[in-house]
Amino acid sequence: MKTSRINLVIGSLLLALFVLLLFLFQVRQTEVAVVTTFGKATRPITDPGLYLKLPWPIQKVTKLDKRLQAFEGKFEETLTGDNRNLLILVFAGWRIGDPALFYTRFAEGSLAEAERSLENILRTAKNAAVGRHSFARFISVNPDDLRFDQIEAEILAAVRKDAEPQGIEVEIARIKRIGLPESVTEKVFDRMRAERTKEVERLKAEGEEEAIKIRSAADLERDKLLAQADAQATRIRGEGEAEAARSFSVFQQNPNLAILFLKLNSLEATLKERATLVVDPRTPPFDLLLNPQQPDEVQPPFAVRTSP
Amino acid sequence: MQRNLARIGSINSILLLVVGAVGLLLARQGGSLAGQAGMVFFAAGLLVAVLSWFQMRLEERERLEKLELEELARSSKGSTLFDTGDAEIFPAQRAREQFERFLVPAATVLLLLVQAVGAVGLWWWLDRQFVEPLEQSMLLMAMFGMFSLILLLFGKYGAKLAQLDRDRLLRPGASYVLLGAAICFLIALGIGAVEAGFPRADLLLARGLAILLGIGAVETLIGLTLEVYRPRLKGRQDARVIYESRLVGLLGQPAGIFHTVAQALDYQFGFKVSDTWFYQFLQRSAGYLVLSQAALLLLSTCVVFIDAGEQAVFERNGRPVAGREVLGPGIHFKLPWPIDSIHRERTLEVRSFTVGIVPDPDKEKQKIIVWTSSHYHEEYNLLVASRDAAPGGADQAPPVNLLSVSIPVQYQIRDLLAWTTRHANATNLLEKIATREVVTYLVSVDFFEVMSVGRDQAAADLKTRIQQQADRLDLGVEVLFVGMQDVHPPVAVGKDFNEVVAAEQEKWTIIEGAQTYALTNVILARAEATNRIRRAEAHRTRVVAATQAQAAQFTNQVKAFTESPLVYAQRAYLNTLAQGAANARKIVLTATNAQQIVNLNLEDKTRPDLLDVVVEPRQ
Repeated sequence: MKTSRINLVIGSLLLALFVLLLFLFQVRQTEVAVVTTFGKATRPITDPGLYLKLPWPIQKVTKLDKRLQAFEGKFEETLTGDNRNLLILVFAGWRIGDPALFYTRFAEGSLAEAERSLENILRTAKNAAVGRHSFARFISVNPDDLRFDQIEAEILAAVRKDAEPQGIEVEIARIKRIGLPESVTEKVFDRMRAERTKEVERLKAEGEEEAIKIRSAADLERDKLLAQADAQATRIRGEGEAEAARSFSVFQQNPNLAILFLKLNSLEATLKERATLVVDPRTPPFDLLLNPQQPDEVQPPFAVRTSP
Repeated sequence: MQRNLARIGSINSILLLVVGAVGLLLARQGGSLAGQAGMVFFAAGLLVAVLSWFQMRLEERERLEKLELEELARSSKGSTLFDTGDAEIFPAQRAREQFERFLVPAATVLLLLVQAVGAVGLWWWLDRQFVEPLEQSMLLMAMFGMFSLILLLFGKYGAKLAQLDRDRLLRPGASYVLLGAAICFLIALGIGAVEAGFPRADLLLARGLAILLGIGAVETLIGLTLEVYRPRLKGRQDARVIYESRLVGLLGQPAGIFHTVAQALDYQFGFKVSDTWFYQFLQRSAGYLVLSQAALLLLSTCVVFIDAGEQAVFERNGRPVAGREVLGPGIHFKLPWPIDSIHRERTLEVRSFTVGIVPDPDKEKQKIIVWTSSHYHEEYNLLVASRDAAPGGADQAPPVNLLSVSIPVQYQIRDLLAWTTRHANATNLLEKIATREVVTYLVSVDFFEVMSVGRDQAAADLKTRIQQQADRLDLGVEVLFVGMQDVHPPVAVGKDFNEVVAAEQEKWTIIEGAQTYALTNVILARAEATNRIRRAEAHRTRVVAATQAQAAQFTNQVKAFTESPLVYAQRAYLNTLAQGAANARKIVLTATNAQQIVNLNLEDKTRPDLLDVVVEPRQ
């Protein structure tokens, strides 16, 4: 009996606790809440704390995250003011501005539905803003030409205007990425390749240029050296001739004989290599062919003159 | 009493149906996985409860039929009216027998299917679920807690009645109602655990329920198999129906476990262990022990230990407490959950992400990183201006280059309150900001500069810019490091950039070749010059020596010539001719009176022949 009473007390306490939970709810500092009575939003709560409500299904509490949400659109192709295609991705930082309005605009305050709506607004604002500026405002070696801050401010202003009536407070809108369509990207690659090819050819040409310079300088040096050597060699030969000429006085004893020997030496030298000799039979010693028994009277090959 | 039991049976069925349906609806709306999984037990329980209730009704009809027949038999003694077969006299009995023979096994097979398909289906379904925050968690907890109490109340009553009346047919439904109470209580506990900061508790409980359902299916299968081979005695009713689960009975009525354990201990030790004071105390106090444990658990939530490197946001009923907004490492006291709650974060931990790439765990193992092969899952081609190719004028679009970068950003939480309470996903926002700064920075820097000498400056500039943006949005972070680890042309053109380096080497190869040529040529020319001079010198020596020798020889020759000028001269001539013309081709024209003109072909021939001589008649 005692056990049953204690069980009853514990059961009652637990039941009371569960019932109490049906009447109370907490709102965290990161949240806002909307209390609905039979489906109608009757009480928005923006401050954190403990609150009372009537039990479900009379009243229902929907808690929403009031912190800054980061939403990213699509990496979308659009046209700049000077008709150039550009892919651009924009993100927005937004929070729930008016909980009651937000709850009614999107099914039970669905963040997913809110972001779907925000995506449309963001795309429209982004494309409009990009269309007002030239390509050079997005990319330039001169930072003064860029207008990112201005373009982002234009997008933010347009998004805020359209999002506010839906209970959405957009705090920032920033460009996250810019890019080029695939076909254009391929062409950029081609141009980059062409630039590299140009550089390759320039380097090769520079190499050839330098090589030719080096080779020609070397050839010049060689020719100079050889020319100097030839000159020196000629001079040396001349010296030899001059020195040899001092011995020529000996030949004055019998110049004819000396000339004979020179001729004979010359004759021997010229006949040595691939000569064809067509001789008259009267030429010694072939005169023997005409008269083998008695040769003609021997004629000296030159006027023999004995030395005085 | 029998009619009362049938009513209790119908109430069990209705309870299981209503709680199952409402529970499923609530669990689906709130996103409780365990809540949805638990409702499969209610479906199985409903089947069992309806089956047992129907069987109770048939048995009740049979009992009434027998009473009526007995009454009629007493009033019409000797009549031949009741001499016919049993089937004609006892239609209710026959109906009950047919029901037990065919429908009960068929319904048990259906129960097996519900349990088996439910277990497998739940496991498959849970594999595809993600742990997400619960909605209306307090409402869910309160509702499932109340379901638990209601089911417990009715289940205990039904089980007690079944025990007192020894009614085997009320027991299965009552056991399922009690099991439903336990499951609802567990679901409420699981939701509480999720709210207390254990987000996977709900999923784990759901998995546990799926396993339990599978065990139940195995038990039902074994029961069905044994039923096939069970010896059947005519007219005897079984103590337990085949669709009744011992497992469900034990789980629904844990006291039964005590009873079984006590019996086992008594049998094992040979004396009444269950009569000892300790066992009696344990049996009496088990409920209190469990409750004490629960109270202790709740009390333990009043003490919080924050680890080194951690901080926690402290809230009382969702509000920050003045002076205690953020708790540092150490011991802290607070009111029990759910009044006070904390949200921990490892603030001293260095966190990081990388801008410009989508990492690939497999490719990260690569030891060599080159421009010509991708080492990430995806590398973004970021636009970079080219100073060399830029045309004049701000309104003219400059040619652009594409660049692949991977820029690691390391950061630390500086202000936990700002990090967690002002941003829904601060990490994601910081990553977006960092990407934005990288993109907007690169579009205005020179392509080659940022890849080479400008890297350090770029890293420093980016760190400053990301920090400024994070401060502007009050992210509560300190950017510790921004690196420029991969900055290179896209993989598609990486090879072309390498070729420039190769061309540079080729240029130097050509120059080296020319230098080699120059070096060797000049050296050889120098040698040749020396050679030529030496040869000239040799010539000079030779000429001088030869002339001197000839002079000396000539002096002697003159003497010989003086002795016999003609012979000496002829001798000298003939010797010279013999020696000199030894190898010459000789043609001697001996016929002096011939009238022909002799034409000699003196062209070089491979094989000169006498036939080359053509004799033409003289004109």
